[in-house]
Amino acid sequence: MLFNSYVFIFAFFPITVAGYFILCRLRLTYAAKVWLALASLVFYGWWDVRYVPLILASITFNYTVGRLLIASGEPTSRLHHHRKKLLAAGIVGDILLLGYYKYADFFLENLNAALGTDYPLLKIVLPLGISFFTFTQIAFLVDAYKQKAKEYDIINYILFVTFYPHLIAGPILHHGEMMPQFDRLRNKVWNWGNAARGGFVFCIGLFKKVVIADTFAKYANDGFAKAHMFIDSWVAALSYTFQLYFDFSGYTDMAIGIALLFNIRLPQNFNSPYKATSIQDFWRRWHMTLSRFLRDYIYIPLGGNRKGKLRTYFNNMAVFLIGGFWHGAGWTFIMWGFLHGAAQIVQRIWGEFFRPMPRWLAWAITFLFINVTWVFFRAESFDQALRLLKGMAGLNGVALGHVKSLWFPILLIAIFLPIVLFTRNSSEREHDFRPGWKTGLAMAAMFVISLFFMNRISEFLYFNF
Amino acid sequence: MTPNDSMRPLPPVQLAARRSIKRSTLYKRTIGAFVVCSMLLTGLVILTAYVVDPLQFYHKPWFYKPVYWPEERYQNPGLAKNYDYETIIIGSSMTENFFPGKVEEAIGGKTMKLSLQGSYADEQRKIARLALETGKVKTVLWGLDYFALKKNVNKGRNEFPDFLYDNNILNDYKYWFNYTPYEQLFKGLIRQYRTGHVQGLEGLYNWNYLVTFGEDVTIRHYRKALVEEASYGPEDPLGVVQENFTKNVLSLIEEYPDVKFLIYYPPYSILRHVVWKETNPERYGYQLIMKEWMYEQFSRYPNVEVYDFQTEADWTFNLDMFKDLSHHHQDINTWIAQAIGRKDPKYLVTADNVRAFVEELERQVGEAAVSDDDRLFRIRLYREDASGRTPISLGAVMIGNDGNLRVPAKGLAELLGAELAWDQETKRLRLTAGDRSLEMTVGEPTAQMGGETIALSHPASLIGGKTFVPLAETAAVFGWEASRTDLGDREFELTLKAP
Repeated sequence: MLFNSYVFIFAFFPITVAGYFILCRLRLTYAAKVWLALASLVFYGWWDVRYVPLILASITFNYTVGRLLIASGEPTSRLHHHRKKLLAAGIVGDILLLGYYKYADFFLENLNAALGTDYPLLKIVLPLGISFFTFTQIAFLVDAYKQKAKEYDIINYILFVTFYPHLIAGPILHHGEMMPQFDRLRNKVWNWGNAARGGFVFCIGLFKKVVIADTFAKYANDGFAKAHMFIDSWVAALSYTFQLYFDFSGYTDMAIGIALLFNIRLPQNFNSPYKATSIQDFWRRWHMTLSRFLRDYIYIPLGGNRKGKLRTYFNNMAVFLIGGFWHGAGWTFIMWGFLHGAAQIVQRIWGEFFRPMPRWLAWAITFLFINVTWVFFRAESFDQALRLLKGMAGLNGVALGHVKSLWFPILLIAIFLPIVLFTRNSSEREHDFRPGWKTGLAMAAMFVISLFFMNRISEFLYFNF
Repeated sequence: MTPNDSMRPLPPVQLAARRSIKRSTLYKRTIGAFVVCSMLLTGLVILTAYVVDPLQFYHKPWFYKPVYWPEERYQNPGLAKNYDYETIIIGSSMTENFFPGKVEEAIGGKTMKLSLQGSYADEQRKIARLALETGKVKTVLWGLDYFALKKNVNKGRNEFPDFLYDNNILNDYKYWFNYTPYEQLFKGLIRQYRTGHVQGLEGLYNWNYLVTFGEDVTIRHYRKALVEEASYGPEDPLGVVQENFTKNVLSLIEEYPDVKFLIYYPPYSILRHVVWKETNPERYGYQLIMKEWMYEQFSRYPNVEVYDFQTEADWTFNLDMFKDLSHHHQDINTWIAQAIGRKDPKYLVTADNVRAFVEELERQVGEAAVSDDDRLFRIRLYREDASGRTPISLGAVMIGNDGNLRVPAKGLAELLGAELAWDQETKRLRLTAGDRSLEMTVGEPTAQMGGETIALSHPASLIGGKTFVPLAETAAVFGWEASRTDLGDREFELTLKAP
């Protein structure tokens, strides 16, 4: 189920919230958690019920390994000296599952291409959110290993993994930043303040997703399909840059807003990433919980920047290659990760030998770089990416006629570029939230306009009969 | 770059302890305002939808000149409900080129075109039903494609807007809260303003001016289809097709006995049938069976007339009237309307001639032949022996620039009474009859007979999984003699005389 659907907004969401607080009110707090856990599984199964057993299997596996890790923390435990192996087994199990569902065909394809073999592809449909719930649980295992997380209750654990606001697209959570909130007594009472703030953030997110991102999507799709000159390629690339930001951050806003109605505060995930003036800065602002995960669970365990320069560069590159590959099973994603890793290294070297650039120049280079790398991120193939980049570089010439035919997306870009650069983002707005009827009206306007834009008719694509 | 780059600390999770009563009231008020304003705005959206009504779903436009949206599944319900007519046109894109005015002239009754491109019978039934329910319809002109009786595969890909086809006002929210019709209306009004042209119903949905008709284009499609359609999946069983027919077409005829149903089978280019016969003989056979079966069903109802235009060779062999294998020029639509209007016995299907329509089509399919320089010929093949001359068919026939024919090896082997062997590895075929044996390799200009090498006018070729061999030379090897008589510019007879 998607947040931006009627069934979610008008049925699933109100019913789960009402059920939760009614059960809490009746002091059935454990039942309230069971209710939410079940609701989350329904939320997940709505898309394809066949994948519910898969997520349950993954949960059971990680819960078991997690409990063993917690229990073996006691020096008296028989497993005390095997904790490292246990953790490794847990992580390998998770990676194998993810590998099978997300990467098997990618490896088969490359194997076939490299060796000239002809293994048939498995054609597996990627289970929704598998990348997210796998990372969430790997984090849990590591936290359990480090004795930073304890969870004995299976329902709590299911809720931690599946709590539907963050299940499909993050933010990627630590056990310790969410579960204690569920146990706070005062969080079990309906809170008008959180409801108003949550609703506010949800409306902003919905608007960003269905009005802004989906409008840009059309121009990004058209452009990636056929653009090859200067102007149309730039319109395509910038459209995608905005589509991706408004889509992803909008979806996260919705998640944060929904969770707030349950009095759960999820971590911030975006902080105006296109305001970044360096690539490091960008990664502190874009998909912040992923950056945090990669830093805490890959970069630092690899030694971070404590093992010399070369090792630091290597670690940086490793993190971004993994990060790129995590985003999708394809060489274009690996390329995207590679470019970001390389940029990190370049930035470090520059910082050592040169003085900082003027802010405007630093911003311009960063934004340009991000745009170029998003082309690899979005493109279906290297050929497509290179065609677009060639166009953006002006190698195929400039067709001024495109200004006329693409006036609308150009206008949109001209409107939204200053908005992402100079206005406050949704987290800041939530922070400065001022209750009152004006805010209520603004929310209603965003909400109703979003409903209006949620239905778009795609053209009937068929002209053979 | 920004007023505040540093990440602000998030507010404390709970303000409850410090929260004053007043603050909580303010929050309640915010939510109250949200709810009330949302309802007001929703009301405004509904009112706008009713007043502006971009799809003319509730009424004809009140304060602007009509803008029609070529997305027929969305536009037609409004036309069916709010316009006057007595005759409706139902069907796929084959019917989109009818001019309502010409149909009115020929058949009678103010006419409304309610075609749905790429539509299946269940969709056609929905729009027909919507119009029939208004009580305005006296005549239905229905172009029925065999294609439309197959299983609907539009589902999922292009969702049908059922909410516009029922009497439930509650699900109209999908129309009220929909951005696209307004976008289309806006674009349409701008176009009206800039060009001064107001789109009328007469030319609505017509694609005649958007496409290129021509023999060369059509034959290009033909060559492509011979290869591509060879790999099409299994055909829907006849039972499915018949069930769709009964459920979606026949049931309406039964339900509305006072309405006259003029059913017609659209004329495709003859090559459309040739490709079906070559690549999907099952489907080719089914549609012939269905012609007779459907007539049997139709004949039980007095309010139906059935017309079959698929054997009108003046149209179907004239590829300049087609833009691809099936889609014909708008003039043919007009001729169809006129023929139905005068109840032309040449096309009217009756119990006596239904079989003849099938046989005639089969005969014509056997006669179509495409030349290497992209021209369509009509040739009649005969087999002559001691007992006389009988017409034969060898399958798809191709004509070289030198006038020599090439035919599928399989069909020819049958005629010659030869045994056909094929080696996939070397792409080599061997025909054996009696003590003679001929070997050919795909792409090679010579053939071997015994130790002798024979030059071929054209090498054997592989098209869509079938091997084509030169007719005259192959037949000659086995002692058959071919003689040709020209009947016209693009028409001739070829007689193969048995040894």
